[in-house]
Amino acid sequence: MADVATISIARDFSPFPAGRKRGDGPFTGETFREDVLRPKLAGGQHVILDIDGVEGLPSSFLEEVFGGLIRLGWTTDNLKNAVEFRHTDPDLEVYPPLAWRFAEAAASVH
Amino acid sequence: MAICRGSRQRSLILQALLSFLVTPALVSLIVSLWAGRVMEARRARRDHITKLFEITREDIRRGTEVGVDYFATRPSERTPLQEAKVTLADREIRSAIPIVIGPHPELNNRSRDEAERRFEDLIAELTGGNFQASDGEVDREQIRRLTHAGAGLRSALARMRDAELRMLASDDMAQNVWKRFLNWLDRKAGVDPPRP
Repeated sequence: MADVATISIARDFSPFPAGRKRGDGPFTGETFREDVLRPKLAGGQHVILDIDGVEGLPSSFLEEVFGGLIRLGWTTDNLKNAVEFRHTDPDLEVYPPLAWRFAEAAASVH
Repeated sequence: MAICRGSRQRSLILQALLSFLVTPALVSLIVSLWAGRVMEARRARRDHITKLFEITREDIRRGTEVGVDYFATRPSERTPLQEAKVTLADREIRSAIPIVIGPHPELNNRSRDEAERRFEDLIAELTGGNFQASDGEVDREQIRRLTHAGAGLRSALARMRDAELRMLASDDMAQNVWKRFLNWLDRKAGVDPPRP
């Protein structure tokens, strides 16, 4: 059984994630993926991604995180086994399916 | 003794007459009042849902417009106001859609599935592509996808609303049959049916 790590995007990163590449701002998808998420995944941890508390997750941010992981060599299945979304806010309901959609879209062209 | 027996007979006849007329009339009145209230509540709910659909469709139209305006501007020339308008539209649409297509089990139909899919499409495009990018070029394909997603969701909601109205109309037919039965009961009890 892999270790479980919980990452709250709002608490551990920012309540206002924005942008795709590092150069786009301080709380971008690339920054989150490389500095927060990937180190946990590389350590073999199962990550619970708590998205409660964010104002929103722009699609450019979300695509850079999940599509980006696929472009870095992850498969969609491995990613789905390693990352689990958690939220209670109904306004955020759309993001988990969207994240997997971006991963699958990236996998289809990768 | 004979007077007493006659009086008791009259009383029994009166009681029988009363129970024959008054009881159905009372039952009919109570049921009519209840049915009236149910119908009134349904009408209010229908009006509320219609309004909600219209507001949401308008939010989607506005969101698509501000998105197109944003993505049609080169990333280096975009203003904070343009970005804020898109972010606000994204938030409004995300809040409204679950209310419109979420807690109404009667809306479980093909149009609802389509609306959910189109909703994901719109959210994917509204803040996707080079949203919040600091450099790059205008992506015409992104604008096309966004426009298509916005129009698609508006159409899907209209179809879903239409399906729901049809369903409510068939429910109303059942209510009309029920109402006729109550009127028949009123007539049997010698009471004028309530005026509409």
